Amino acid sequence: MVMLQETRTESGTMILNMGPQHPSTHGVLRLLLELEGEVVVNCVPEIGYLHTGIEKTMEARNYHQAIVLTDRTDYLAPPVNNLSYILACEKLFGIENEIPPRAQVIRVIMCELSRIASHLIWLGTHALDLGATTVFLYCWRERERILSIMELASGVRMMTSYFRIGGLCADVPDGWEEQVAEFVRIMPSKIDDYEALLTRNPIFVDRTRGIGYLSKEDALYFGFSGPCLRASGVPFDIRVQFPYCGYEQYDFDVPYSHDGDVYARYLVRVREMRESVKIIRQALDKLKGLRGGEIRIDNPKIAFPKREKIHTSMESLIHHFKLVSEGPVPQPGEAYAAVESPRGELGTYVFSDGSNKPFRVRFRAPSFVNLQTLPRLVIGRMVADVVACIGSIDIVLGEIDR
Amino acid sequence: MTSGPSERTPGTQSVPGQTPPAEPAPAVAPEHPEHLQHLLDRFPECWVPRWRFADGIPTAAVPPERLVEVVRWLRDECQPRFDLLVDVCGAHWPQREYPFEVTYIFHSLAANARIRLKCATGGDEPRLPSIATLWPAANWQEREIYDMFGVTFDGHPDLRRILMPPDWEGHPLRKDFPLGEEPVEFYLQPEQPAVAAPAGGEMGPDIA
Repeated sequence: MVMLQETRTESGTMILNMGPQHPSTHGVLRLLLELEGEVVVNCVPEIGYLHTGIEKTMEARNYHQAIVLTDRTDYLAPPVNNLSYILACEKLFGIENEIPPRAQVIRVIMCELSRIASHLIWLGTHALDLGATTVFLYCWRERERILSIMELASGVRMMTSYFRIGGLCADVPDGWEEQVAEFVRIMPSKIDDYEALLTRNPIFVDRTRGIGYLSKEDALYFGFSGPCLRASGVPFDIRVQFPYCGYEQYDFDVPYSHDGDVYARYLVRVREMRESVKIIRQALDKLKGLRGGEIRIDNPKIAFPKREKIHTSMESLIHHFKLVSEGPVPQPGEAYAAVESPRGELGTYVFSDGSNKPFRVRFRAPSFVNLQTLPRLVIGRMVADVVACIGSIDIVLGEIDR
Repeated sequence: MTSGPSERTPGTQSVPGQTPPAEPAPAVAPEHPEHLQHLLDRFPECWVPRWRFADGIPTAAVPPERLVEVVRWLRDECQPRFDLLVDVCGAHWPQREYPFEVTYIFHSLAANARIRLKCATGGDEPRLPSIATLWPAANWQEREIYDMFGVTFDGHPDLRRILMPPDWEGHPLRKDFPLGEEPVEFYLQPEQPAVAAPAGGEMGPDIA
């Protein structure tokens, strides 16, 4: 960490400290900006203020206990984090092809809902940074509906921890599907509202178009992923390239743009929300045909037995006790599983040494990789553009610092 | 420095009284996937580790002195080119001969395929060549491994701690670094207070 004694350097430039409590840094990101007048000549991001040692803590928990810690990394889209970790574990246990279809469909719905929720927060705060207050309130309103839907299924608004190795922790309650259906019915018109406020708003366009440009080649070199990479002209989406949870059965587009600027990232994310709505609609149709289906695999060494079985069968009770007290035990090995999080490729790398605890868990956090591009985006630009660039990368510091 | 093949050595964590699970069958692939075979043909000093890779990504172990060359070959000359560095991940296996293992995953957009490289090092001051000048995406990820595992990357443009404070001592993700925790005492019977006082805060026995 660079300590600041003098705010003026010998060459006459000024050092400006931005963050870690600056509202537009979206968390506890600290930037050291070297300014010449209002132009940024150098930018050094400092991170680590939210480091909580999640990867280390997971090494001391068993495979099931570690699930709740994954929620705390990217706290704007917890189901996606759960899924990434759980997919890696399922590969490690060798059960990735046995997950019941009903569980898969519900996983898809939860992930797409959280993608919309995360994009809503991004859109609201990004627009707020650029001076559009109304969008912020609109976005929060719709996000509340999503959180209520999540609460209905999992009992928790944000840190859902709803998925389990081998399926889900419980089936969705009665009335849940209707709530989701109602949400996807109203959501397209809400997205129209946001677009009406922003897409052709001259102030918003002036502050975003041509700002923070990154070419396709640079985007690849810097390891961009997710909407940022797609806005630079690479239609790369894990849901399409390496489908998981049956994403190959859904019909959706991968929006991308060749402009590579802040405005392009805005357009890509807004279109992604519409695609997510499309996916949820198809998933709801699938779910109707899967009523009463299983939501967990029937493997007592890995997944919890059904509640009614625990009450009636001695073996199930013992299995349940073993799973709670000791947890499932995979064979030694390692597995990397990637999912498309709202921010990009979220990979979880789980190493097993054959004990009941993960030997090492690593998160390939998309925000972490994307953020290191920030100096490239802002050098030579005005201070005010820094705010637009940070917003356009859509960082979550919980995920960056872990 | 040469690097031995990754052994199937169990780590430090185990459950007392539990019989260890059966050793996995060695992954003897009669025929390697195409991209991996290319790499093995081009660099005969690379080998396929005997270890279970449950995700199916083709994997090659690389001696550290050839790492930069292999990475550059994958990026510039290999057909198809691997044009995206996905992940750089460190791990600490204290019982192995070369305990510090760094894993690189590359993605090829043209072939929609992935390949994984493994590079292991050891000693009191573990060192590996940096690929951050080839791949800017590796810059922060190598800094994180330096911070968490203490692996020095030779040739890195800006190697300093990234998540921990600069005056931090030790490397948190090493297995010999203790996991900090606060003692929690449960009062089972009100008249029988626990031996140690709970950390931080006064909790009378009447809480129970």
